[in-house]
Amino acid sequence: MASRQALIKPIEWSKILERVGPEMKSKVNTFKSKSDTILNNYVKANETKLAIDWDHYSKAIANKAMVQEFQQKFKALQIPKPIDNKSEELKKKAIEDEQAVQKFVKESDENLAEVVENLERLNSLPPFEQMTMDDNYEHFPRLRPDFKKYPFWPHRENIDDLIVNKYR
Amino acid sequence: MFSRLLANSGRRLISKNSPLCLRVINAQRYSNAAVVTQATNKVAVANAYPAQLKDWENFKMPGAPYDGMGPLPPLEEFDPKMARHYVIPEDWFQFLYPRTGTTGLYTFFATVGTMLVSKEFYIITPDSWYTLTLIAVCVTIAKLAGPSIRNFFEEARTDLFKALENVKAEDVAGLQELVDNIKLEQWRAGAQKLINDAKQVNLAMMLETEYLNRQATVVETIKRQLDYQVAVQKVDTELAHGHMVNWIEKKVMKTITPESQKATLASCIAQLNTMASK
Repeated sequence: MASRQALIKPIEWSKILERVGPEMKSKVNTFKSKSDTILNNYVKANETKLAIDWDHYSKAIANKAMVQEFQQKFKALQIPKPIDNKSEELKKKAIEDEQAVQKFVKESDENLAEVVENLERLNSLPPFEQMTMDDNYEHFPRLRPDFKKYPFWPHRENIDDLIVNKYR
Repeated sequence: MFSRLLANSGRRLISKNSPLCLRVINAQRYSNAAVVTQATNKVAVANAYPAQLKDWENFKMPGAPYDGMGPLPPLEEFDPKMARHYVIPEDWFQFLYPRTGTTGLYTFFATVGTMLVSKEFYIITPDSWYTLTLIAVCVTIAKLAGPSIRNFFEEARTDLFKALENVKAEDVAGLQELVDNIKLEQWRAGAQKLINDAKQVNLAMMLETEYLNRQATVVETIKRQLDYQVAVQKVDTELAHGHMVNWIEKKVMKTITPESQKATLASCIAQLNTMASK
């Protein structure tokens, strides 16, 4: 019981909600409302008084032996604790999620490295004055003229797509 | 572009303090084009395109090697002191400076010119006046519109580079955004652990709630039973009490006979009489 009570601590919803993306927002909100009802139930159950005023009853009831018997039996009674069969499942799922997150982070780190490499490549280019047209086409492939589709100058759909006209 | 050229030269033709100039300045100040004209109105320096790469031979292009790879050598820098009066090389002045001082070349031209004319090596004809007029016109154009013309050609040269700068800025901004997005997603993925922790907490809370509820049920049941006992006892005492009252009443009623009733009545009347006489 003590170990279970140690597990109970306030959930930091502000931390969770700020880290949740817009596509998960509704799911997390339903989860939050469910947990709020659970918390309310717990608080309500905690507030109910579990003590029995034995003195009052032993005074009020003439049959003392019966009260004694009640008291002894109540003391002897072991209330069965609810069996926890979901905890293992949750732990397993948590470990799986952790692995999935690590996998995602690893993959996105690879992507990130690629993107950063590209950024560095672009930032280390010399001034355009000293770059050849081939350099430009190599580092900015979207500027390449399409000789196959448009055999005649300007090798683009229209003249406004020329670099100077389009990116002025 | 030609319109800008004309406008620039026009501004130069109008003297600074004239009212027309003021009107032009005000019109510019309150129009949207003001910023643009201010930007282009800067005194042009040739080869002003940013940051030349001097050590171009040792520079390694990123992503090398590929066909037609740069970088190109930088343009030679424009030296505005290369020639005096647009056409006379500065070297000639420097050559004569130790011998005849600053005015040496002017003196040389004047004396040689005088000699040519006086010896009739150069004969002044009407064509000479045309030549002089042509020179005067050229000088005027150079003085008035020279910087604008230089600007015009400089811009024509750097237009492509500026467009490419825009392309590069676009690409860099896109990649930067991608980096930010990836980092944001990685940070957001960490929320899963918090949610799982919250689930554990919820489970513990639910189990605890169930246990407390069971306890509460037991306590409530016992209390109800005991309360029942208390209530039964109360009813019993009440019944016994009522029964006793009835029994006493019956006993009392039995003791009262008609004679005793009459005697009580007579004594009451007597008492009333005494009270009335007083």
